[in-house]
Amino acid sequence: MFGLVVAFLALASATGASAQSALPPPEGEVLLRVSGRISRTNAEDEAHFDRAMIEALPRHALHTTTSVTDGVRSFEGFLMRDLLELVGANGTTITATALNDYVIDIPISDFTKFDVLAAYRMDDQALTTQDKGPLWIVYPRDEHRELQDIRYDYRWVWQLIHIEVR
Amino acid sequence: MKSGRNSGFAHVINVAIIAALAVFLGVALVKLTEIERNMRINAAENMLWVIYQAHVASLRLDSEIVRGTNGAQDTDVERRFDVLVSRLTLMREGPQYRYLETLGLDREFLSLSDAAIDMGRAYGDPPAGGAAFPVQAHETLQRLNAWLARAANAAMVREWNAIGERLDSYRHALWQVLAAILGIMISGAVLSIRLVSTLRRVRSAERSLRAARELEKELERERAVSRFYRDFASTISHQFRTPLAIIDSSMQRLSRRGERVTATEIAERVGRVRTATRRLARLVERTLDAARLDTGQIEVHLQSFDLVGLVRGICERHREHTPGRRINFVAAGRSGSAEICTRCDPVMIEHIVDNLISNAVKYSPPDKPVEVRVEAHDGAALCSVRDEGVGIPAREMPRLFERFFRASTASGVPGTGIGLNLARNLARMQGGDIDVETCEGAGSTFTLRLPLVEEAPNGGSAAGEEFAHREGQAVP
Repeated sequence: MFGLVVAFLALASATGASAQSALPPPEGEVLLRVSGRISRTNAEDEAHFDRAMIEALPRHALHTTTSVTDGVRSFEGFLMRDLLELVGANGTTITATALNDYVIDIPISDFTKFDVLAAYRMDDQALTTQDKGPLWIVYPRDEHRELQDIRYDYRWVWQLIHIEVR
Repeated sequence: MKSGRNSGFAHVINVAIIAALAVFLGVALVKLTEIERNMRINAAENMLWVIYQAHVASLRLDSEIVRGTNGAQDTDVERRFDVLVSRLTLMREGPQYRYLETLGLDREFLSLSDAAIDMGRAYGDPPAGGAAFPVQAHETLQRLNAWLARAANAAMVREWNAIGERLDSYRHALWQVLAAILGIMISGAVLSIRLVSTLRRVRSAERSLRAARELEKELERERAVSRFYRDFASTISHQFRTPLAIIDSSMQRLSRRGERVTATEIAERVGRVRTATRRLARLVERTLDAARLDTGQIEVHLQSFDLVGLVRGICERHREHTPGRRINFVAAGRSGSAEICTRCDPVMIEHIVDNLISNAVKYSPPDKPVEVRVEAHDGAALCSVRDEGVGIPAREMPRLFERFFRASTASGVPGTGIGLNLARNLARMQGGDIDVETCEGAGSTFTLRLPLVEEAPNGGSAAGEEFAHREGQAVP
């Protein structure tokens, strides 16, 4: 179900080398803002990501069913823990906010225990803000029975635009 | 036969109860598994939330558009529109759309959501929808909002009904589980009661079996006693007949001869009658001894005594009584001492040794010697009496010490079968015993074995006279 897709850019090594340096500033439209207890920023206290920066994170694929769609869907995106590592997150919880002001707290342990994806493509189609884009937090629910629980279902935040590390 | 059928029936009942137990357990397990499986809640069932979110998105878009018509410059119509489209798209997808179908609201929703999405596209066209746009958009959203309110209402009713049904099914399943548990408890209780009652029956059966065995033993004892008295009567009467016949014939002869009887003849007849009378007296004495032994009237008075002196005295008396017989006495005392000290009742010892010597004299030819030997051996004081007489057949050895038993080789010799039995009983009462070695036709050796003691005898080496001053204590 879960497969590692080739990391297109050698971003992993780049982040390793410049762990404490500032992030490059976004050039295009900002799709995601990360704030709170992070050590790497590029816009005052926050880390802003445009599409190029998002797509530069190591890509992963995930095939899973969801609770709001039919059948197995294939998702493509980055691992939440990679993002948190990139921004030097130092906290236990994130507060995820969606475009429609949906706000949910998620323990960071979810991202270390499971390969939780922030997907920007579903079935080879880019997720748009008129659907569930720009980013949809997707859990590998088919691989872990405990994730097939209503208490995990509400953490599948779509139209994700802001993460606060706490 | 009846009990066999009963136990078969009981077995069937037990199996049935155990089967019932298994069925109840199975039902409980299946029902609990069902409950567990039904306990998962699907997010799609949370339709009320989905509709509410869409309603909020629609209302906010509407208010944003109204703000724009009122001249506000910082409106966020596009974003609000995107959110609404996202919510409507969600509702047009798989589980959500099927839910609307079950509510019968799907067709109306399709046209309303199509209209809303088209309206958004019109806004996107330059120049920002035109003048007619806000009015049209407001109307479109109003219709959508009215539908969303109705849909929320219907979803709420459906969800509450679903919750009610689910709770009903849980309750039903739980009742079944409770009934199964009750069944398990009842079967278990019945099984336990049956087990306890079976155990009780087994115990009482064991008790009556024990009682029956007791009774059987009692009966066997009674039979032995009756047999004993039968044997006793026949033996004694037989033994009495011979001396009585001698007495009778002597008296007859004397009376028949009348005046012609000579002094010599009288003396001879008197001698015979006296011998016969002595025999009768001895018989009565033996019989009384046996009876006393049986009724526990014989007491043991133990004291330390020199066996050598005691037995030597007995031998001397026997020599006087049967002058023609050779009775050799041998004492093999321990080095440095002529005495062999033992703890015994001298009266009993005399009785025993007397009996053994009499037997040896009775059951061996007159020309053969009888050897009496006293020795200490291996912690025991031994007194053996050896004859070269008829001996005892090996097959009769196990019965030799039985009362009234007389060896086949003893036929023709008067005897009651009491002597050896009494002798062994007396020996055992003193912590000793009598053993026998024999060879048919070559003779027998009877050995009295008594416990050896170290201390000096308190009665000296003399025998007879001291018996009157016994100091030993009675053995219970």
